[in-house]
Amino acid sequence: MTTHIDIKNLSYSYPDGTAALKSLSLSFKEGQTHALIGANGAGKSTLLLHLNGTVLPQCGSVFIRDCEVSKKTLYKVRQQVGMVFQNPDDQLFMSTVFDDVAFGPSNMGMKEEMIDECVDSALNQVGLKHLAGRHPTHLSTGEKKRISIATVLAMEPDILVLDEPSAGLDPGARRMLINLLKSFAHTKIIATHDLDMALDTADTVTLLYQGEIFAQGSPVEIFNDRKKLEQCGLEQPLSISRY
Amino acid sequence: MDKNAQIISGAIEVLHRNVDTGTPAASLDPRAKIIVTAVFVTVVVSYSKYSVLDLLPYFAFPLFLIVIGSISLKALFKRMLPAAVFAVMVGIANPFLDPNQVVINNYAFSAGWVSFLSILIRFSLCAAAAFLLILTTEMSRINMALKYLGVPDVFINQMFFMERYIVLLADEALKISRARAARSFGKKGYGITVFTNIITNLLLRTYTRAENIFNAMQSRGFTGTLVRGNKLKWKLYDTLFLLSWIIFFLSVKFNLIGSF
Repeated sequence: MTTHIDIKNLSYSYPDGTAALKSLSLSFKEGQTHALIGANGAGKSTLLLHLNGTVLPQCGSVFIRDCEVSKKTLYKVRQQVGMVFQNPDDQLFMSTVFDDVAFGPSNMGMKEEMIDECVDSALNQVGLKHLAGRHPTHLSTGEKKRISIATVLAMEPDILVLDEPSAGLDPGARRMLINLLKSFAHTKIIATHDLDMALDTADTVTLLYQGEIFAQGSPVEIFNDRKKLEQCGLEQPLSISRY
Repeated sequence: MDKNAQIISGAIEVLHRNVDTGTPAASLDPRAKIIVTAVFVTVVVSYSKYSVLDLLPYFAFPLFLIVIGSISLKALFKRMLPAAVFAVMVGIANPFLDPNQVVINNYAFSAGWVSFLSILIRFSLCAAAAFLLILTTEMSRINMALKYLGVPDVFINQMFFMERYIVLLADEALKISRARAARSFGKKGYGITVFTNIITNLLLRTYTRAENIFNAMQSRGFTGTLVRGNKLKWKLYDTLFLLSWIIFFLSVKFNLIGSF
């Protein structure tokens, strides 16, 4: 399996001096689902923001295949990496669902007919074509989350990056989201506190602690190591700890 | 419920609007509606300050939109009422500052009261026309029309985001208000320090939200243009609407069809 994303010695500090990432190196394989877990402030979201150039490295590098993420390559990188932000209200800013899903393809310079096809296809994939004409304000959280994913699918990226996708969802909506994510063949990077979802969907898990990699491995390896999880301020997933 | 929370809740209810896209008013091209509304407002404000009876025929336009748009009068008045306060504030001093008399249809009236009434009538006409434009047209179509009419992107984007996020911001204000009320133990008023802290908090949250939204937009290739004006189709119906109302306004203005 080829390396899709390669991160080398990545460091980043916020303007107030907080060191969010400390010389972090890791890679993600193509076609796999990778979960990033860690306590609040571990650096998960900051790492995700580097993957599509929303934040540029202060030190180190991020490569999407052979393309280094930099100011000059932002357009190319963002075509390949679709980012789904944590708060869907930040992602859904147009007047209708259709317009939101069409936003990315439209900015990519696609023709009108192709945009319509892309939007249809993306909405079909998330099972919400019937909401195309609705105002995003009037959707439930679960619907907003799925539409947020559609906005990114419409750009046909190779990589999906999702920040806390199951946050705020009821069990039914959460299960729908998990099944949806499992149905995608994209390389997926998911930052999450929902360890049961990570156990259910991920091929590999990276445990971050204070901006560094604390552990990496298969979900079973990581989630069976209760001591390591507790050191990082986490607990075992319910599906392991209970049974 | 806390009084401030009630006010904010009321504002949220007014801001949330659903345009009934099945009405004849909604199917009119937004460009036609914008142009007719602009001409309407220009003609109405061009009257002299003592004009009252001359303005009455212009009520035909908002009444027409109310009928073809199936707009509830209650919904319209709810939106006009807050703005009416400003109209009253502008004209309320006139009866005291203008002691002259004007003659209307052989009757003498106090000039100050006549000019105050003229302000209120002009406000009613212009505000009704503006609100009816918004109540009968989806914001995306208004923005597309403005794009077609050559309005710069920066203004369109401002209106776009205001419409999209004002409800969310009002919601944040409501949450802050409820949280404050829950810990105020019946004390009235904010006290200026608490009020300042609340406004600062709201401003910071707004700034953070704006940053997040911009990141999301950039992640999907945003280059400055939110709205593309190529989905509007002009019909004969729109030409008839545009020409007939402009002719009507100008005919009334220049007394071509007589006046009261």
